[in-house]
Amino acid sequence: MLFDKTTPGAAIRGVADRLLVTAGETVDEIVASDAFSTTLARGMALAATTTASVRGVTHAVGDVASAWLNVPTRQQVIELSRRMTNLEMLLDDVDAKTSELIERLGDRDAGD
Amino acid sequence: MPGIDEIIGDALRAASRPAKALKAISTSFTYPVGRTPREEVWRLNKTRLYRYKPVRPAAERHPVPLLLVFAAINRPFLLDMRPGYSFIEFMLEQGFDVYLFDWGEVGPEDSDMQLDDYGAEYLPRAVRRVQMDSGSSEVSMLGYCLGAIILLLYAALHTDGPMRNMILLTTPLDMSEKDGSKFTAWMDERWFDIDKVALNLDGVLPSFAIENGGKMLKAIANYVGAYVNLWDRIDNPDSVANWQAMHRWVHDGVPLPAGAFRQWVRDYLWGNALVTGKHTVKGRKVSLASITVPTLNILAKYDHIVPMAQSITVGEFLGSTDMTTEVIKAGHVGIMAGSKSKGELWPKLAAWLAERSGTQTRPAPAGKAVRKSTAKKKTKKKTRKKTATKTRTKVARK
Repeated sequence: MLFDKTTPGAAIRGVADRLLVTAGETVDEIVASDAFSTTLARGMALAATTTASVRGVTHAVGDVASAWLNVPTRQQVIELSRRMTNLEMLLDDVDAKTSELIERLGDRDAGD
Repeated sequence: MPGIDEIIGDALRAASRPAKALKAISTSFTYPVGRTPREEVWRLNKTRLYRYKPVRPAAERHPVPLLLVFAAINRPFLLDMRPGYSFIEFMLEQGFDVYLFDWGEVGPEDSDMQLDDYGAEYLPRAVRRVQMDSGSSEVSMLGYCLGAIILLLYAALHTDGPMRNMILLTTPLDMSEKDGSKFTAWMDERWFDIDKVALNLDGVLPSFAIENGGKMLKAIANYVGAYVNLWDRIDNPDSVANWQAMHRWVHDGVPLPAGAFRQWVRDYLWGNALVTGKHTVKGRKVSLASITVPTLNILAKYDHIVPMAQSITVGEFLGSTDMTTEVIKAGHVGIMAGSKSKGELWPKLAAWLAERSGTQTRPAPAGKAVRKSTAKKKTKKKTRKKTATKTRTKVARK
């Protein structure tokens, strides 16, 4: 196979592999440095705040459009979803209690 | 020296490689994964509980089912990559009744969810459903990475619960060694403003941020080396299929709720809360020392995501007297989905679990089994009513 160890291309492949190893070690050292960590942290905070302001505008436009179309706003849908999840959990609690009750009744019947 | 025919053949094969590689990459995003037959047992919000179709008859199966809890930041199909290379398939063949709790893909509506909610609200409900569905009073559980932390939370809060055995895989628990990982360095409290970041996210930490964060830990290996590997194995279809499944998994992440991200960094990473015993959930102290179930702690020797320093001390904090620590020569992902997993970790794990999955010691659970008996009673009553009606009809006819 071309670039295998037994072919003339092996030399090229060997150089490429060594380059990758060296580049890997160099980049690993860079990402492990405090300078990289601080830059990354600042970058994440900046990206989050910048996109948040853009998102704020998008959501405001969306809310106006929702009102105009007489459909629920994004926030209302989010609230609805949260309520549904709470309801699901309550129903699950009721199911658990009912199962427990049925089990106790079953035990009592068995005792009788 | 190779002959001219061989050189021409090699050259032609090499010429076809770019097209093959491009095809492999482009089709990897839809590569069929998670093919072991399963059915959805229960769902809550985005989470889903699946039961895998057993492959061995009930008499040959271990009585205690196994519930898999994967990290909440990745798809769980890493445990079921492809036929012949699937941990779930392997465990089914070993006679385990396997359940998987999939956290699903959270959205902005889940922004307030914390890791505590995973361990205290969602997982206990899923465990009850496993009990109901399987009719088993006890459940063995396996947690992977962040899933292992959720499992520890659950176990500490439910010391009298149905957990029979606990398997922890690459658990990022002990953060006392700050130099242990690049992640901890990147999110060091000296420069990382978690409040600013978390509050300005759109409710969730996007999956691309998690994916690239993980890749940057070994940037060249992940961004370049992965494709060199594909190039090297492009003429081996089985190898390419494995590569595609893994490529899909790496690029198919799920977001993490902003609340969970904030809690992870603040309480677990900075505060080392689980280890120091300062963590409370709904007023209840989370004490790892109260966990007494048999535990298998599995570590990956070459783990660059969760270095061994973070997980090797797990046994020191638990109260379990049956504690086994196993170090596997693999990486964070390769430990479970690597080429050697099937021959190394999986059999060890299955043997450990099989030894501890014998006769159950707890009473039968409430739920399905009870319902079955109620249903039988109802059927009896209905039969009685029907008989009575028939008798009455006969009398009327007479």
